[in-house]
Amino acid sequence: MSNTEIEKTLMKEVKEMTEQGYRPSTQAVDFVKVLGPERAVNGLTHDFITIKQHNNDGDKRFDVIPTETLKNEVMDGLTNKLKTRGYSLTVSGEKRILSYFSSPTAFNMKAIIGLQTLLPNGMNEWDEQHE
Amino acid sequence: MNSWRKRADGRPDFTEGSPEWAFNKDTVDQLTTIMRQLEKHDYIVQTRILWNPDDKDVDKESLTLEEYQDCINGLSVLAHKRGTDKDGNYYKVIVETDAGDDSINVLAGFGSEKRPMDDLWNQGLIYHKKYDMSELGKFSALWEKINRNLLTIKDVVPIFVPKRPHPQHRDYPTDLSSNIEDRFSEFIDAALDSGVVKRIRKQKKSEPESD
Repeated sequence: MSNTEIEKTLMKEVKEMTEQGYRPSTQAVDFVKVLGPERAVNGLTHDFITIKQHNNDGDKRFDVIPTETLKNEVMDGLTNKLKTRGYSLTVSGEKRILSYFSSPTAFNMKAIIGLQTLLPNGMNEWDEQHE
Repeated sequence: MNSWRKRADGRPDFTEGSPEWAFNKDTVDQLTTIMRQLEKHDYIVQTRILWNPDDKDVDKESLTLEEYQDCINGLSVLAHKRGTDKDGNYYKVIVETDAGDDSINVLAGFGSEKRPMDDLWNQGLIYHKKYDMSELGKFSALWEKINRNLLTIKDVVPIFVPKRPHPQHRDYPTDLSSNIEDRFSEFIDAALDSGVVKRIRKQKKSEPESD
């Protein structure tokens, strides 16, 4: 499936979700503000981020959260790049960075994006231009 | 005496005649739109004419329009968010045009009233891009991102680098240029300071066992 088709499918899913009464949570709004709409779409198409729905007694909300794909890409990239420079993550350092993924606030997402910018592939996939 | 028109504020209208792209009417209109957006987000905005270094002290009153335009190197919009957070941090934006290479440069990020620029990770810059006049579409796309993202974020989230290299960091660069590898070095230094990374210790070679 091409990126455009994936985007269309995603948009359809988001539309259906909205029609079912789901609204973005504060976290989702902040998250997309940090990323910007283009990166949010690219992040979804590349499986870097995903949508998680909640229905608490009729209060239908959705969060935008980083995926295992993004976590693995950033953690592996960071570990390898540090290794080439003669450094490694400490146990507490690894926990701290993993906590950015498990608690994806706008601040933590900025930290993740900041780290990914420094890795070999950088933000190329987040910044892809679409026709 | 100059016959060319002066603006309402008494300054010469350098957009008349055949100005360079860096300060023609379309560019001034685009910068004005940016200024209005910044003001809407409660930024204090200043504008400046950037003079060619050799022409800074020239008496501009007696010049013809063409001579006056020749003295101009570009235009600059400087803006910073009104007020600071409790730690003295604030958001700032600079947009400048350059007639030398027909480019537009955008720098946006945060500054600090309490810490020197060199203490700020990547010198406080979150966005730093330069486009030539044929890439105005790309510039506009980036500006839209800044307008939608940076200008609307309420909390300032600065990242600082330590003042001195961490003792474990032996390949610390002395200059603070903004390329990826230098920024990674800065990240390592900050991460060493906060205990996020450590230097890999060389394995000691074990002594060969004697018979």
